[in-house]
Amino acid sequence: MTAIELNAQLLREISNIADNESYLQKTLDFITKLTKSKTSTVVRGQVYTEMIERLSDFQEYEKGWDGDDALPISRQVVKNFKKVLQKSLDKDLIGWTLFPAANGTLLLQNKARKSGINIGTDGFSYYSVENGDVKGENHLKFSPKAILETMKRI
Amino acid sequence: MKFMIHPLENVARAIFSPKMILKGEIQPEAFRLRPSISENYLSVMRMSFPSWVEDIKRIPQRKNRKLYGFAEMNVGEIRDIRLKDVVYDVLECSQESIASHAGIFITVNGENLIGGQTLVSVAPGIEQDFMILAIQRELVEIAQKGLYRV
Repeated sequence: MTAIELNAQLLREISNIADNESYLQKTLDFITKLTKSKTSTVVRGQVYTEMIERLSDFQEYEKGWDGDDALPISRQVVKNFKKVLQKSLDKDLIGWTLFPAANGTLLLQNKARKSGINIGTDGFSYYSVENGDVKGENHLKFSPKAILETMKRI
Repeated sequence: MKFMIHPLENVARAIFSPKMILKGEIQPEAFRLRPSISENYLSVMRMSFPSWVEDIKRIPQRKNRKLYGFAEMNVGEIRDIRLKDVVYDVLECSQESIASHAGIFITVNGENLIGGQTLVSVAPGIEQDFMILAIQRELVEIAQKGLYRV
């Protein structure tokens, strides 16, 4: 249930039992607690969910998943990408698609921006094509912040 | 001597795993030059040859390597890819047994691209060279327009 749906349901309940003061007080207390709660649930969007689903599928890939000699996706690479997802906002992920790579890494591609990022165990590389010119870098140190900044920049 | 193929011809790139097409999108890895055999071209079949379907089926199949589909690509379009310092060409590689066999050859700064040789590394977990990723991306864009299952 999303936060909006939850609020709507609470308001419906409040209006239905408005004559019951004690129930009303309990409901208000609950809302106050929910508002002040430091561990409120973050509702993530469809792009995030799709990424998680894809990642989960890729984790199951066995050696030779490409019909040839591809390696399974490295556990460390999966961990790295999960860290990126945790730090991301939904808007950061829009337009990006996740692919597995035959050497056990993960590839994020943005079709519209003609760009991509390859995430390895310790590092990452990225490219961007503009008017036929390829720009990019190899061997950059991995950090979720660096990946997210690159996703915004390219 | 390898002969150039006419730009109006179409070629088929075989796809050997359902995992190479995700939600209708062909994966960049479908255009990987294999480091294990120092592959120096991407194998394709010329669709103008009546035997091409038989030829594509004759590519050795193994337990995890079953013909799943193919991507139809126009030769002229491949040759017209404009990436600075990169040249794509489609040349015939016919053999006695596979008459329709051809290859997509790629050069970077005049040097033939060979699987494993210009990649930073093929070790697990090491990120891929950005130039290779960009080269694959261009082929994906063309292949995406004509994906077929066998």
